[in-house]
Amino acid sequence: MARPTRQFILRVEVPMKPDRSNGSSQLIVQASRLRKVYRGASEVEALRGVDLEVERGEMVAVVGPSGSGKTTLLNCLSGLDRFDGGKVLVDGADLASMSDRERTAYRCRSMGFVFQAFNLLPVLTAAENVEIPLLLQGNGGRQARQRALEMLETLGLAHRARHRPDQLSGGEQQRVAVARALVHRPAVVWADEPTGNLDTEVTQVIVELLLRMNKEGQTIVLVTHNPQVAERAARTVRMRDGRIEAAPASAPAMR
Amino acid sequence: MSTALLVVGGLFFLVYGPLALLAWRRPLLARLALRESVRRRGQLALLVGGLMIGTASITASLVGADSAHDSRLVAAYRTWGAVDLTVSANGRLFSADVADRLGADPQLAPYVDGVQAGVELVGSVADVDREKAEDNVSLVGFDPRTQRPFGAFGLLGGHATYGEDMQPGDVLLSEALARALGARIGDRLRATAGWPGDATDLRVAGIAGTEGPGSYPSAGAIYMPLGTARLITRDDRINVVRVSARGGETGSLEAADRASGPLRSAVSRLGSGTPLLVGEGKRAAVHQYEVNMQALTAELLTFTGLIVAAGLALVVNLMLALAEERRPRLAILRALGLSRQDVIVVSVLEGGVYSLGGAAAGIVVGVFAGRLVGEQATAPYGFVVVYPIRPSTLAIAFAAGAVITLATVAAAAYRTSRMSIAAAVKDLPEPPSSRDRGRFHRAFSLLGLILGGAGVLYPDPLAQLGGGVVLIAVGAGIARGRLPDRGRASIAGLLLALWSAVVASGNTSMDDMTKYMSVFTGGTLVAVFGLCIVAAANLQVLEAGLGLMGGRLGRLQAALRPPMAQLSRRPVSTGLATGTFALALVLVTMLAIFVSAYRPEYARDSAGYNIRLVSHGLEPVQLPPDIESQIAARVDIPVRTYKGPIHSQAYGPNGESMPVPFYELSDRMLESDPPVYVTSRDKAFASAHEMWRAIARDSNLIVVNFTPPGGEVTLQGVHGPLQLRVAGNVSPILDGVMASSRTLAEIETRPSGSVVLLKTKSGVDAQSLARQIEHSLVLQGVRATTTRDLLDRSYTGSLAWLTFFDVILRMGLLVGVLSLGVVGIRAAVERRRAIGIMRSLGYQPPRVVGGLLAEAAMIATIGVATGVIAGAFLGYLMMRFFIAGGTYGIDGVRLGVALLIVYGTALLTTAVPAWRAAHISPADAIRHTG
Repeated sequence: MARPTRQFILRVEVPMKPDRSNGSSQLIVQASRLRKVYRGASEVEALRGVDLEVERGEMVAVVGPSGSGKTTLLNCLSGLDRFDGGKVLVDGADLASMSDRERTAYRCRSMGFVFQAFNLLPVLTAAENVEIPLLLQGNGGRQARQRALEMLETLGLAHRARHRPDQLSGGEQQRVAVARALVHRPAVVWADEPTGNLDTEVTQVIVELLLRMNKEGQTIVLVTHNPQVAERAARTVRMRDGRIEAAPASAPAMR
Repeated sequence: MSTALLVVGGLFFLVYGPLALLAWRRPLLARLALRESVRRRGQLALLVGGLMIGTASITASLVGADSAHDSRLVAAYRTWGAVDLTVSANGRLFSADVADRLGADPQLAPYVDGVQAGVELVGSVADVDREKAEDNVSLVGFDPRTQRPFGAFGLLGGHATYGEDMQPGDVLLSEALARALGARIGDRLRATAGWPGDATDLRVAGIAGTEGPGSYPSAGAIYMPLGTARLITRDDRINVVRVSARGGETGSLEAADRASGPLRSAVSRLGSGTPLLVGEGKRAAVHQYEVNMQALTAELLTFTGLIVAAGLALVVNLMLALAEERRPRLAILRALGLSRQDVIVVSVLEGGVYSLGGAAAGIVVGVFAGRLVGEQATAPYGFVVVYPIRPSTLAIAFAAGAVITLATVAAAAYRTSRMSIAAAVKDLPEPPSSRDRGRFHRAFSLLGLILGGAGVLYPDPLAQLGGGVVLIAVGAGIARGRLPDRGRASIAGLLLALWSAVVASGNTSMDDMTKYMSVFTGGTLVAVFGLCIVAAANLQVLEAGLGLMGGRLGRLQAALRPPMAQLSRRPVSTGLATGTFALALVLVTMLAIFVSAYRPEYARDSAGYNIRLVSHGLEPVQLPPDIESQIAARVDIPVRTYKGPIHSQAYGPNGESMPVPFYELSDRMLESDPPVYVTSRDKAFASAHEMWRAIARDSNLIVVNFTPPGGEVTLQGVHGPLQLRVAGNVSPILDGVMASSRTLAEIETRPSGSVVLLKTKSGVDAQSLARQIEHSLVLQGVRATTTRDLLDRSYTGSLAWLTFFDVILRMGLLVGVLSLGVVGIRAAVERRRAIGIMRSLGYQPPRVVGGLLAEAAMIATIGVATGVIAGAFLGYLMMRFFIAGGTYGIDGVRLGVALLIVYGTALLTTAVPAWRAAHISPADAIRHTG
């Protein structure tokens, strides 16, 4: 049995507990007839009218073969990329009607990202990377640093706070990325192949971490190739050729 | 073929020969390299444009130096024309028979084309019709019967004359003198030259063009047949015999050298009562120009060397950006089976294409820039500028530029080849490197230690400088991982700056000017880059300041932190970028110091005297009573002239072309200090007064304004060569040599009138009084000039000399600004992913742009601060050697304007790549190939 490389206690505080009393407010992501076309030498329709709903506090795994449109879907839903048709509402906000500036501000306020390549800023220390979202929201330096350190401590990385990404292992870098995604208590955390660059042992640690966050009420949408990771999510959405193949009904219970 | 061409050309073939062989043996690698190089035309153009900077700078420097050198030589040869040798008695008169006897000497005849009796005096000439006078004019008497071998005077208007058709009293004016006097043909002139026939009336018969004998022996001259010259000397004798050597060609001293020995023999056979000397004035003039050119070339190469270094830093930045952009593709090739060596070969072959293109383009740009430099370097002296484009010069520049660029490419390729294939394929950051760097690194470090140690111990400042740099670099490499990065970079940077200061301060010998300036340039480079690394590494102090910001400044902190961290945590890379900029600022600051040092302080530099009168008459200058009443104080200084060989260590007059004025200081005057401002003096003297007292006692001491204190001046004394020591320098109001009567008694000089310094009464306008004096005394040939005008003229001349620095400075600023553009491009290329991450986290584009602009401003600021500090120090050193008595200061306006331009263009250059980088789609930027 795989043994976690480091023991730590999760005490992640997330902003929005799922409120199941009001049926209409349960949905945090609503995408309908979403289309995305890449235009180059030839046009490639990456998303062909995707409909997807994600409930608050849900953990959804998007799976599918390479080129099926998983990452494109995540980019469009999270506001990283524009789309060519359809509608996306995230926490009631219509992404299509937002300017780049508004989408950027929205991402800053309401989104957290975890990427396969970790995507930490290489010249900043772990603590500095984590505090970026707080500083961007206008928090003071000391307050942001304190919160970042707390977050790192929560993830068992307090001793690595002053290290730069190139001084951290892959698992540590991804945990820092998770800390950065959570530190400002976003509405949704988008994770694109968060374990793609990690070995089995560290993958386990990161998946556990995401599950605990979700248990605390954090909405998570993750894209993965890894069936072991996908099966831990409450719901799996399967994509093929830019369409959702099967979208089981929302089931917020976790395995 | 020059040694430089052999070395550089050999190196070129040593480098490119194997490259060509590699391309032939490994066609796949060659094809990959070629395809890569032409894949993006815009990028190719940018790279070739950037890479040409090095070659262009080298070419400009070499062509500029060649141009300045050749222009001056052409001027020297033109001045002397067909006069290859002279026979004289240091200005004294001797029998005209000497010329006839030499001309008839059968042993001399095969070596000479012409021998001519002549008279050469110096005096003042007044144009009676224009009421204008000029002093220090050469009065040249020639014998029309023997003028043919020396050429005809080409007159403006198309005629030419050998003087046979000139009437008694007719003279020809040189073009420059005619311009200064505003003289026209038929004008009445009055010449005064300290001879019995003073105030001789003459008539302008023509104006001689500069071609032919009309340039001899100086720009301001009047030419007259011997019969007319005798009206001035009131003597049938002559004081010079001019000899034109057989087979003499323009630009060659060979004929003069061949004739020199036979002429000396012929002179000794004369058995004349007067001791006659054979003068090699043309050789002396050429030698003097060569000496002056050595200094100028050294200065030129020093300053362009700094630009070349800055250009190289730019090339390194470009190459690193290129290597970063190529990394994923090279990683795929590695994954497909290319070895590390193969990757390096592909990169180097690709770099070979760029470097050849850059070198070729650089040659074209450099030739034009070189012409500009050459023009600026010679224009102040009124020479006709020539632009020699020597194949050897172009070959050196081309080969040096290409080899230097290729070496940079190879270093960047080596760095890239060490990539982690898995990370590079996905365009991910390199994983942490192992501390154990293998045997190769250990061997490399050991080699560095041996070479560095040997360099430090070698008794040559340049080798010591290089050796120390290698040792410090190896030491910094060894300390990697053992010391915190910040401390390591700070210590290494400080050591570099200190070591260069130590070596530069020990480099005091100016015997070999080129060597001196090479050490100076090398020291500057090392010190600037060292200081930049220290500054970059310690930006963390500012970061800490950012950390203290609270509350509402959080957003600002978020915007500034990534660029600040980018700079502070990569100190070598930042040092490279800021160093490029700093080098440009070093030049700006030094120029500002020079301008300030040359700027006159009228009250001080004139010692309170407002007007200077120059009279070549033997009688004291008599001022009319109405003028006398406006004068508060007056000092008369007798002037004698010396005509003969004179040698000094630095720039100096050529006494064989133009008599040098000697100001005779009486004991009484020396006792009470002469009325001139002493700009600098030998350290042996505690005060100016002590210096004057020493001059009164010691006949070996003189004061000049062309050789620094402590230097030596050698000239022909009464009893043979005489070596004099320079006690001090004075302001340019008295241009020449100041010596005691005792010293002058040992030198062959003759009276040449006097200089009168006048102090006007309060409320008197010196300018109008000077005009009034000149108007009253024009027929005596008295020239009156305000000391303010004299100081201004000297300042303008100095500024003209500085114009060539200005050209180099502009090149430097261009390189600095370009380098910021390249840094901006690097940011866009290398930090595409990082910017994408920032955008995905919520950084608005203006904030990203703001961060990148802040980074550019920070680079500019570090560069400005380091450059200004280093420039202030180096400017002080340069000033000490080259500007005797200048007051140390900085021309704030010039520096301020330069800084404004620097910051403005820096921000403009960075804004475009920053804007483009900030508008990268975050999804595109963080998308990877995995």
